[in-house]
Amino acid sequence: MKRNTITLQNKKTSLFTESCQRIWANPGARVGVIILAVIVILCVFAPVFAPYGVNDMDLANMYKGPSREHIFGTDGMGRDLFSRILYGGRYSLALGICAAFVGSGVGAVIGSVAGYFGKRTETLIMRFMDIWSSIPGMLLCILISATLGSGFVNTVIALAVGNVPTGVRLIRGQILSERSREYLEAAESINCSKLSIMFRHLFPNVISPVIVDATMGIGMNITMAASLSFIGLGVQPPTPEWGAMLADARAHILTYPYLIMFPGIVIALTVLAINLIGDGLRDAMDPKLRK
Amino acid sequence: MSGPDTRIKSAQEQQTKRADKVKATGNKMGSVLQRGVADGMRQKEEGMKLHKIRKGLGLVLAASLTAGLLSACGGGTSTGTADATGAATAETAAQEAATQAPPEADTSRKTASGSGERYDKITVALSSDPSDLGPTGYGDTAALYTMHNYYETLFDFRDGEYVPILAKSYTEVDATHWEVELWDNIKDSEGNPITADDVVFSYNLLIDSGKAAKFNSFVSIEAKDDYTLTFTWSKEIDSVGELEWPLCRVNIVSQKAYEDGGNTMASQPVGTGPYVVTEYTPGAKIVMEANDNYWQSDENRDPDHQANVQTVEYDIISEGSQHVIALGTDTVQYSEYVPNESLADFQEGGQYADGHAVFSTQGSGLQCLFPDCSEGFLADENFRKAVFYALNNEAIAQATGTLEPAKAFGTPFFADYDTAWESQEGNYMAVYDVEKAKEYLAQTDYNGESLVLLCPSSDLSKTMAQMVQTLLLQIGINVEINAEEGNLVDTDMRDPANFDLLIKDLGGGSQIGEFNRAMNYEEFGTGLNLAGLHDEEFQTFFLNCSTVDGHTTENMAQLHQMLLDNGYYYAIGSPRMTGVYSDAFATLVYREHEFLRPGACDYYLD
Amino acid sequence: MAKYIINRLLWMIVIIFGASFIIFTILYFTPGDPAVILAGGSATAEDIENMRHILGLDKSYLAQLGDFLYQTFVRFDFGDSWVYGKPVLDELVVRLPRTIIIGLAAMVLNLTLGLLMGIFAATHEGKWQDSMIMGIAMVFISCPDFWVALMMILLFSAKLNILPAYGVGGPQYYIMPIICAALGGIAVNARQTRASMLGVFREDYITTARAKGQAENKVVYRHMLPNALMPIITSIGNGFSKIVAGAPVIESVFSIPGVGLYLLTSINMRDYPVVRICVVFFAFFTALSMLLVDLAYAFVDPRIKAQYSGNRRKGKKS
Repeated sequence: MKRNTITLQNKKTSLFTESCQRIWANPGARVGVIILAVIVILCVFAPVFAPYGVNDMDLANMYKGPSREHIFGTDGMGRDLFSRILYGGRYSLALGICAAFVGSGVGAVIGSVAGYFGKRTETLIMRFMDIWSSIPGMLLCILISATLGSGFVNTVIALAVGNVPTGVRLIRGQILSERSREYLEAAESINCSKLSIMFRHLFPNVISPVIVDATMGIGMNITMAASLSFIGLGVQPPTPEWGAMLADARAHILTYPYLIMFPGIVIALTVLAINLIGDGLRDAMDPKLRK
Repeated sequence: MSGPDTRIKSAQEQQTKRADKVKATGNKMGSVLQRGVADGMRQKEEGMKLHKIRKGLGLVLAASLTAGLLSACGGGTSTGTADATGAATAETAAQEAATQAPPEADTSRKTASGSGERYDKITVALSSDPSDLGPTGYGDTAALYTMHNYYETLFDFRDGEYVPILAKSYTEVDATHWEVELWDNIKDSEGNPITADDVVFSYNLLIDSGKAAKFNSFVSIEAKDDYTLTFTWSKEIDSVGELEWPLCRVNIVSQKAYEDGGNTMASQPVGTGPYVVTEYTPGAKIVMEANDNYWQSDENRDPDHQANVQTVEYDIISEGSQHVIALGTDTVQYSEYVPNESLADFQEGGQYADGHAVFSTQGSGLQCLFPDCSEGFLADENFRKAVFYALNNEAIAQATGTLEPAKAFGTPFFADYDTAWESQEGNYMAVYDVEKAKEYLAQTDYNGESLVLLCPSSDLSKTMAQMVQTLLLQIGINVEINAEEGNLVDTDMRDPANFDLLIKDLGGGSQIGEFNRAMNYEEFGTGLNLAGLHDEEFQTFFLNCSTVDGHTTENMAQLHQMLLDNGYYYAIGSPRMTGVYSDAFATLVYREHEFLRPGACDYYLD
Repeated sequence: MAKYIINRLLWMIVIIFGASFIIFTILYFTPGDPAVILAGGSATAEDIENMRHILGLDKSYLAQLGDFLYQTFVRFDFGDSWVYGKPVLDELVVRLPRTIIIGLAAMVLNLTLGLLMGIFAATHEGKWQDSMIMGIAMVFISCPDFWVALMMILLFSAKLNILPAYGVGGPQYYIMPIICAALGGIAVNARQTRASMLGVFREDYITTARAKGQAENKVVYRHMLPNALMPIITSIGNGFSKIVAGAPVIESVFSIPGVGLYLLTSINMRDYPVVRICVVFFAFFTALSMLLVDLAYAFVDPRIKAQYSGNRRKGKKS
């Protein structure tokens, strides 16, 4: 891991390709990448792949089970479930990705400040994080979502808030072990400013666990967002968020179980794929497992 | 299940008997009172819990619910409409279409009331926990379903009349002073006698708790002697619903029992009712046994205060689908919270049809779309009409599955609803006319800006909102939905700045009472009514319609025409109330048309 | 060691205090005026003002915060529910055991199943058993718990009719909620255990132990497990707070009248005294689990203790 700043740029690129190769070499991760790629492509190009419009109602075809016209069936307003899942995927995925990276990103910044500056700053920050994380993430998420109201940005904030302490702890732990390394002393000795050292030198060297954490966090956030919509917070109708679709279908579980099954399976598949990739990423980036 | 019904007869006799005893309503009310026979019960809908509390608090002019209870109890429409007051039946198409006959007792079978024996046990499903079983526990709607089992009040409010329960008789001393005589043999379930002092104590308890709503007319209550009470009113009582709370919502407990028990009444209530709570698991269930020491003699016992079943259990089930499972597995025998599309399971050919039946009736509630007439695009009458013509009530009702589409601004449930309104000129609720909508829209300066549609976050409201959104999009009006927690909507709707369009339900005891909330600009103390209006002419006209003398068919028709001409209001439809019951029930009896009285229902014993 | 524990205990109090402050502040800024909601739909402006006064909402932020903290932490008076007028404590006494039963039982499941699965996978590294266990764990982690709950209700209650779908009663009522609450944790623990076990797999002392001819079982349970325990303990601690936090969702699916459902309905009703106390209780359990994790660290690994004092010195030096 010892490297000086001049070669960092080159190393990083090769590190990236190397990581990609490693991930692809991991069979689990490969499956994950394929599943996720399919889901992402379907969702991103939803207008192309979706057979119907996202809010196209057809009252003559309410609650139609899976058929050739509607492969996942239709909901209580005759909307095509498959199309809604595709469009909803854009929302859910975007929500998960934004929340995970905002949360981990903020956490990483605070954590580096704590880890690098040490002393009082560190104590203060870490104590505050203890308090912060004493309110369990899901609860905090529920409360903040109730406070801010629904909407994409508000939901991202609500979800991200719970991720921050984990990010802080993670990066601080990394920095603690990095703090006494030679390259930092070298940077200090040439009078680099503290901030510059922190973000230009230290940060790139400790960021990989945060990336792994954030990747795994995407899956968790998608699930949490779904739970949030499931208990009635987060999104406004007719947004086809997956959790909201589950919540709408919840009362119909006995009569139209497919309304519950398909969105649930899609959530599970997506999260599964992301977790598989996250696992692969962790293995790929884990220095212990590197030769 | 057919054949004549014993239950209805006794109830009718009872009511005739009562009619001589008490005419608390006074003759003045007669005109409003007697006109109506509205069959069925008020609607219930999940997600409208708060609405119900409020409705409980706010039954103004609840005048026209005459014989509905009786027919709902088991008489069926044919016998039920021949009510004691001899009023005409309000025949409405919606009523016929929406109702599913209530059970009629099969007289060839042995029933609890017929044999004098009790049915063993009945379990009723609730959707939320009353939480506080104390005499002042009006926190959750669910309390209204349970408290009448263990508490009693001076009077019951039944079909627009005050039926004496703990009170024996009553006299109007003068316009503002009433004297109420108590039965002298009242004892609570622990044997404590109830005297006038206990009644005063109970009144103070409710008033001090801050939950004494609609006490506007109430000034004081005093014990004149052991069994006589003097009520002082602030003004002459000129509307029948006015005393519903002061007379019918104050649960009477013994001061001794209350104070001895410390704070335990909230979980171990001691009252005079036909049932005694034996077990309460907060959030899960309430179990009660018949009160074997019920104070009233058998011949004077009110039919609604019977105990035809030994054990009554209330199960608290928050999930709609679990109500289906509970009924299907016979864990519960009665539920009003079965999701609409599961009802088929309990009907002819359904998987649980065996042993179950569905009772469905047109409710009194009205789901409305309110424009904010005070500002923005909706201040423009043409724009409002464009919106209203673009809406298709039939389609919305179909999507919800629970609504009867409205054809005028009102609920056919009420006697003072008039089917003639439906064919009034320019009635945008009865037609779906996209061309006309576009014509009106062309006269406005609408620029495609998104309108905010505020609605409660119940499934029903969200479905309506999404339908409105889709329908308006067809004529090029963009709508953004803001679904909020029901009680948050109650806050936000007071300020028209929070919405352009609002989906909200109305309730009341009569059509004009229902209108009050929507039209009276004094209702919220903001000077604006629900449509953001402060229209003096309209207000004056509305207030005139609210008075007993001004409440005529002509005036009401003119009021309706007025709101059509101005494009002030839009009704989407009224929900049905649906109860699924097991075949153990011979009849269903409801308190205030709304809350099942398991003890008063009849059961088959064979 | 005693000093360490006292230190940690004091710190726990500060955490709960801080959490109370955070929750109070969040609720203070939550839209929706509780007074309006409580006063009812037909209330006049005067009624509402009156209600605000009764609830103390007309006071300043600091005065309200002070009142709340004083009542809760000095007088241990948890206040009355605004909506029901009932002491919050009365309700908690009844509801808390249900939430805790589910939490603890799920914890036990997490621990035993998680550890066993993890060890099993680790000892069969690379074989099909390993892939299978890890595959199962992956699926457990990926399925939303409320969805699993719905599916279980559909299968066991609606179709097979062998388990009650809702409510509380005998032990059978808790089976599905506990399993649902535990699933994610089992998977996380299994993965963590496997990873930690594999981490120590190649350590010298394990090779030594094997070389000594120790029975494989002994190697696993005597040598590997204790050394692999640290990250597992962390994951257990996190698991507990996750289960507690998941209570609102699980309880709402199964209609279990626990603290989670109480909290959820109270948020909707803007019944702030209840929300605050519930969150404080959840924070208490989280803080408690953090404390236990820390103590377990110190107990399992004396190096931590040394590090604890060592760190301080180091801090002063730099």
